[in-house]
Amino acid sequence: MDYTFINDTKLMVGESALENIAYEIRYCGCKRPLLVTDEICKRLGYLKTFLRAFDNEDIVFSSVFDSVKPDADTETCEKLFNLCTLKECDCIVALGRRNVLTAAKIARIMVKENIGKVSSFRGVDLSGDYDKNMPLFVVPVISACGEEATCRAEIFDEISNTVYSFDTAAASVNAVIIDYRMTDIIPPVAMAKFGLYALAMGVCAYLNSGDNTVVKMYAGAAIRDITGNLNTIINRNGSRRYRTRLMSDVVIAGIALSSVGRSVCDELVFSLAQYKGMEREDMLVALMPSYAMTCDEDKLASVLLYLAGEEEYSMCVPLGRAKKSIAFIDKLYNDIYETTGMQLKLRDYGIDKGDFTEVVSYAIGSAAGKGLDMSYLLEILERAY
Amino acid sequence: MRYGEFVNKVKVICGAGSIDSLPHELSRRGARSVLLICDAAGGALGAIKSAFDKCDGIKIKAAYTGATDFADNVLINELYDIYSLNQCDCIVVSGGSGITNTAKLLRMMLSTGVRNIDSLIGMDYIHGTYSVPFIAVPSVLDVGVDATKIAVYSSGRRIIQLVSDEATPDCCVIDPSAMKDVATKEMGLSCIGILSCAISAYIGMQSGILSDEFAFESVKIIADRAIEALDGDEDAIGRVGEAAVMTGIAVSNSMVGFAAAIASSIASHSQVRQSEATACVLANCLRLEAERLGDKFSRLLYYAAGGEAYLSTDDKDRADECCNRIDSLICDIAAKCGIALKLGEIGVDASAFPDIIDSAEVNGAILSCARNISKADIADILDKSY
Repeated sequence: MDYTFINDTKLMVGESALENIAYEIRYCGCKRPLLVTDEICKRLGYLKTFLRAFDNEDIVFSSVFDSVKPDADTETCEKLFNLCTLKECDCIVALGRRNVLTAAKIARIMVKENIGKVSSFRGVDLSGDYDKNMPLFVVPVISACGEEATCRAEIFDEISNTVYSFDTAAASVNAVIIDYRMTDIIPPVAMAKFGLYALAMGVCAYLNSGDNTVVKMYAGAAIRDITGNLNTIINRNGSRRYRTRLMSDVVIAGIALSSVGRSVCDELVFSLAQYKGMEREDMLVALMPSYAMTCDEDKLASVLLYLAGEEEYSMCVPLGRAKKSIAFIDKLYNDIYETTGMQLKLRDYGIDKGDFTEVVSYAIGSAAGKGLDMSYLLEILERAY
Repeated sequence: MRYGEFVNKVKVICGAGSIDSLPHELSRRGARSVLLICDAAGGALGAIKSAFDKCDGIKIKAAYTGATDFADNVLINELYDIYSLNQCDCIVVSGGSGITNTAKLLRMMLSTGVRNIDSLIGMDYIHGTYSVPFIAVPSVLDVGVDATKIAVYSSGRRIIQLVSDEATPDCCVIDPSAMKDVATKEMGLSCIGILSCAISAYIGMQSGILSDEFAFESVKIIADRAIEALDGDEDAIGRVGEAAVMTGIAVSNSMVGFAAAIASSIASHSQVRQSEATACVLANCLRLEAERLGDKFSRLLYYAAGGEAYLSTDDKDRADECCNRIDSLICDIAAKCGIALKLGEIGVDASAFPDIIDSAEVNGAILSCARNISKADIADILDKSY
């Protein structure tokens, strides 16, 4: 039982969550927030709904930046840094999807370190940042991406053709606020996608949790909630309650996954995203079942408790539990496919088998992939095809 | 979906030898000079000193090694002076609730810049401008004290409770070696306290999917490992320590509940320890809760008694069986370490019941119960537990 766990992000979930943000901002001693969002949030009315929650509050946004590009870029982060400095903002509120979250996280790191250029972070030690300046509050819109409550952020700089990856306490988020009003246009296929993504993150985190009991708790909570509710979530698209739950499951599973080391599955996902231009969420969903088959049998057996519940887990003989976990996941995937027609295999995304060797080579070249048998990785890809 | 929150501010570092990570954890927070506050009886003192002896750059600058069952304003203010005089820049605490609360309150003073802890009385929320690095190494397994933002102390005859993020340690280091000297009876009482708080966190109105998981795991650990821990098995002791912290995280996001409210009231009116009072009333409180929350207790049977007991019990009987199993677990723990399970045996006089009922009824913990608890319910529990 040797492990370490840290995640101090507050999760604020449910009815009227938006109305509680002002209190949180005041609690952190802040008065001049910078609001970061994008065109989509503005066009779909989320920004208006969000601002309405502050109607009776004494918090006034010092500045509203509503033009984060669909793929966050270094230029936007630098603009946010300048805005924060110019307007003397004392906290950041990010309203939107992954692009907004990334821009806000990186702007926060820049302000904390007082470094105005993303490219200047090369070689900077960010390991000891624990001060409380510049709190960051995140309000996911449409759906969560799983990185809301993590210390990770990654941005691509087109000019230097470099990916800047941050994994630092300076990128941590003070609170994630999940309110149904920010989720009201999700179609069933998207709901299914986010649900399976949460499940895939939860299962991968659990399978790689080692002795870390706290990671198991986070992963277990997300898996249990998703498997218990996914079909209902899809069939009752209009239900606020389930949309909110789904979004919080993604955030919780994201915390679990970010708290374990990068697995072989993560490396394959990264490789497919980086070199084949695929969405990471889709690739994790596609690879998880075949990756799970290759994992430690005891872990796979114990995840059945969260997938299937106490009754089914107890009824299954211990030696059959690992297989039953796989069967459970397969059935869930099939059910989702039949209900929504969602793409669940690598071939559905236009990936060619001929690309596998190249994808595996990149993965083997990574830290987690070092020393791995190529045929093992190919087997995972073949099964997921 | 009704509104709910979950937060866990504490970094959990768990495992044999984890005390050795103390200098690193403090250094990375910029600390150099440690104020060590440690129960004289705590088993961690030697290990903590040895961890710092091995390190350059960070040293124990001052140490307070006295015992205290309950934090008080005099000691807290005295430690503030010791901290300032020695130019310390961080706090390490190891011990039970009394000493840990003392350190939590000292941290609140340092973070807010006040020189007298009583100056913080009455503040709505206490927000620090600078957080002094603060690490807890539990050695007595007091439930939740290392993971919550609540700290309690006495000021003269008054009992003061302060709530602040500053009361939560940055890290909680769970090292079995720090807990190996815990007296068997204390460990037994802690195990029962963990059961009480974990179950309350699960059945309370503020429970959520994360606090439920922490509660399930804690109950399972106590059911599976408590007796081994009482026999001195170091791994089991470490697991019970882990359950204590996880239960703390669960209850700080949910609430402590019915049994704690009654036990607290008994403790203040009869001058007995709250943990001993909890041991006496817990089983009866759970039976009352199970009448209303059958489904929750049915599910809990799996964690309290395992899959075989769960499967071999009819669905309709599971809640009752869960109470039986927890009752039996409490009896086993009590028998193993000489804990009395009747209020009369720990020195509670029945004549105090009316006062106990009056103050228990208005205890905030009762408000978080999923069912309404009446005076008659409390009286019934007291009679059955006497």
